[in-house]
Amino acid sequence: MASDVRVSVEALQENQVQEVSLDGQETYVQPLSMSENLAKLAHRIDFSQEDSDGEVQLEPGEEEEEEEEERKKQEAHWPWESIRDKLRTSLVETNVLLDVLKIAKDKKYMVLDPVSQEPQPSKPVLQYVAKKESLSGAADILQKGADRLAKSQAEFSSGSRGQGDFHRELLKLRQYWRLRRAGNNILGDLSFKSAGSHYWHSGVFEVVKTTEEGMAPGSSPLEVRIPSDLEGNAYIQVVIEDQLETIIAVKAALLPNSRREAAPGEPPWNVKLEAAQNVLFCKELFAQLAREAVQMKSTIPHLVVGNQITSQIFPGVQLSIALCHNTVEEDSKDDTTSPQRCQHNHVLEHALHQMLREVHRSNLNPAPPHPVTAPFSSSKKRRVAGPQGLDRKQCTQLQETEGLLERLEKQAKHTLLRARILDMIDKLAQEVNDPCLQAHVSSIGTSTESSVRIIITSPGYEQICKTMLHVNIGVEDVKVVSKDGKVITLSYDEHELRDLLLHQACQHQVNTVQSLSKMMGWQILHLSNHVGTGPVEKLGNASGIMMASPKGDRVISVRNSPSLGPLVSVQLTRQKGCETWRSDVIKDTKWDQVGGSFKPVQWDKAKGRNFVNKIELLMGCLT
Amino acid sequence: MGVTCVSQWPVPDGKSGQQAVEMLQRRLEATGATKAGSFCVDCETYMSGQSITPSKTAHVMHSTGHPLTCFAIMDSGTCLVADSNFDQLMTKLKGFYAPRKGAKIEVKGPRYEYVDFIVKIGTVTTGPTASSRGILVEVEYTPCVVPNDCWSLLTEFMGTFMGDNKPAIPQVLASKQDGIYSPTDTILQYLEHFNNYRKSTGNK
Amino acid sequence: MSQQRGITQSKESLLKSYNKRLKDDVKSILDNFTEILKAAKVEEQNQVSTLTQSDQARYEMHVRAANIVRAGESLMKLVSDLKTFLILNDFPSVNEGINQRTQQLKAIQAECDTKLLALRDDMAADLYDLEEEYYSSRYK
Repeated sequence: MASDVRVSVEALQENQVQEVSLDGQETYVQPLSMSENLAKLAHRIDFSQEDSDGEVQLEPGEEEEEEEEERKKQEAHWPWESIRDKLRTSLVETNVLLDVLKIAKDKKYMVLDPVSQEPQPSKPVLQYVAKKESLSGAADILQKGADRLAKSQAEFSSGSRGQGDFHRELLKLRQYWRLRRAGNNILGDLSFKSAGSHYWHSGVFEVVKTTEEGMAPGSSPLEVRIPSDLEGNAYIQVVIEDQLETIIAVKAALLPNSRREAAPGEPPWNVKLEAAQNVLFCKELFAQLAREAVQMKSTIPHLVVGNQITSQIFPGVQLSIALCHNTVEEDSKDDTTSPQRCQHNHVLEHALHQMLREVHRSNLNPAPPHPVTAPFSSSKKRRVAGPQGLDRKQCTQLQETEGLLERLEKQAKHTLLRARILDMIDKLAQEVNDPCLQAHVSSIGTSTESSVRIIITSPGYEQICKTMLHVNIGVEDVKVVSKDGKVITLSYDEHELRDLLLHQACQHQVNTVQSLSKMMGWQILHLSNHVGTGPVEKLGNASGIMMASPKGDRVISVRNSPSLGPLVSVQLTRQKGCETWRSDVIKDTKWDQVGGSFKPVQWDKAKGRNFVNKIELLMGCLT
Repeated sequence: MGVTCVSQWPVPDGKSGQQAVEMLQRRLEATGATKAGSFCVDCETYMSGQSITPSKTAHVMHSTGHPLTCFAIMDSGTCLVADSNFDQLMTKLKGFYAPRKGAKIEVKGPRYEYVDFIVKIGTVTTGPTASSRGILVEVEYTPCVVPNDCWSLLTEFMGTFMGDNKPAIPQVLASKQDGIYSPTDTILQYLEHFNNYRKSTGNK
Repeated sequence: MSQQRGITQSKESLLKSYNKRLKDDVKSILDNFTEILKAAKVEEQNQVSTLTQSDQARYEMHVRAANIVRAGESLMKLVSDLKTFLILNDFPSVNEGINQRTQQLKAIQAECDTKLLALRDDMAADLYDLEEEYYSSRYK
């Protein structure tokens, strides 16, 4: 019957409220001081209920407060003795417990064994149900995932959209463009660096998968992002025009609808990439031309303003090259453009493109031989300069190279000159009917040289005489080669050629008459291509011929002048039987044929289709 | 490359080479020639080493008139016209052909142009001494390449500023009257004069 | 193996990473599946009460199932990555593609050239005749 012993030395407890005053103030019960507390507790100990030593029994005991209070008065001589004894016994007991635990831990001498309890009734049914539910949950998740995968697979095989298309498009893209992989992105290169260009622009574009929102029906699953300064369309416009346009600073007008239409079956990204590449090419071309225009020293300096380069090729004619970059995607309907500015000289533009491509190619492929590691080398001419012993003048000629602008100017000059010359020949052929002018333009020529063969014949008498001239049109001059090998160099003024042709036509007439007279048996007394008599001609020289009839009694004299036309006169010798000159001294009849005046023939009223025909008829009737 | 005549201009006794050159220059300028830079022709001699038994000489010459060319002449008279990188080849052949010491001769001086003619007046120097050994005058008539056709014209032109000292037709030109003149012939003429100078100094 | 000698180090490591991903994913699917089956075994309860144990098992199974799905999807992505890699970096086929395209374009160029030349020749012949007619007629 041991009572529950509580040993506390100090208790921390809240102070109990003794009183709450009317203003809310609480008055606490003052805590007992230590000694008071202790004394109070000591009185409550009931030592009569203590057990005998050696028994370890921890029994929850009940407090018998009433008993304690009765016994308080009985055992009061040392209120702490009972406490001390209790403490001592509990210490002993605790020590014993500690020793037991230590020995049991070793498991050599004592072992703690659980007390077998009754097996509780197992409920496998619950577990089965729980497992089944959880399995079905897992299966659900698996099923959902598999459904998703199967759906995407089905989309791929059906080919409408999805990842497979992206790869197919990527394959196609790779066939047309250079691609490489940089980390997670796919980058491409649309510059001409691999073709030999040294332009600074990197021309890098990025390939991405089209997002779901951006997918419109008919668009591809691949999208291409090009650098912002290469957007839109660009082209180079070359125009040869009169110089009056220079003063008015006309902004180079953009042709509407200049965008290239996509070929059927061509993916949209190809159109975009090609347009960007074209922009890059045009920019490089224009930059090169502008650089040359500034550096080139010529008599009339070039004008480089913004996007336009202007240079004068002939007096009064200018060549203007403009870079037109259309960054706006929609078709710009610009009605205020002057129609003149919308012309393009396609041939010259194409020539520019070709020239730049040529430059690129020569950058990459220098003339052999050179080691693989050296991408540059000197030209063939430079290589043989040493062994051939070229002197200084020739060496400096080696180093002169022409830039793009110079070459283009030459081509433009030639084009313009050619057009003018051919025009002039046409007009002349229309005007001059009598000796017929035929012009045959040669189909073989270069961009800086062409040739025209001009045949002057008299209609109806082509077999008798033909005058042939070969006109070589160069960049700034015109060379005329005649059948006998004479070369005449003329300037770029087409009037000079016109004068020459008129002169040649006039000569031709006389030559035809010469051949005709040979055929008809008339003797040629005098033939000259440049007669010194008569009025001074404005252009060329007059040609003249004098022929005598077979019998000798008639002489026809023809003086053909390029400006005044032909002048034909006939000399009639004395009539037969005229006795004026007969005398004893002069007995020979041939002297009858000397003398006589020349009578001019009214040429307009003479019968005959053309000059030679008229001469023929005249000769016929005088024979 | 036209027909060229290289001749020696005798230095008058009382004067130095420099004065003679100046006098020639003045005469030329009086005729109306314009100065157009300067020129230099130099010659290096290589002797064959031990491995080649009859010892051979090779002369390597450069001329500013042919800036990219190097001429190599053997003592037999064959002349090789090569690119200017030939010099480096010669250094690689050090074992076989070693440069002969003290045998470098060069001609330097002003260059005059008179329409179609080019006249070069040069002072001959050997080695580091820079003392003039003599004066060589080269006259070139650029349009013509056949010596026979223009020798008379050349002589006449030379007479205008050289006076009575105009030379006779050089051996090289005489042997090639109707052939085509080439840069080799000019160089051979120079070599001939250089050899003469060497002999003359050797004799002294 | 001779083909792999020319591969740069980064490509080498990329290929190795693909290999690793493949192995990991397949292993993950297999492991997770076996674990699910293991967890489906009915056991005696130990210290933890039945409810807790069944909750824990269910949660574990769900997570493992999700893992399997994730591994499957990762394999799909791997397939796509491999395809991209092959398209971009497989040099023999890239070169082949380039060659084909070059030949195609060269053929077009040659065709254009011959057509233009033929056109030029035809036109030259016709032009000569026409010029002759035109210039020798009275009416120009």
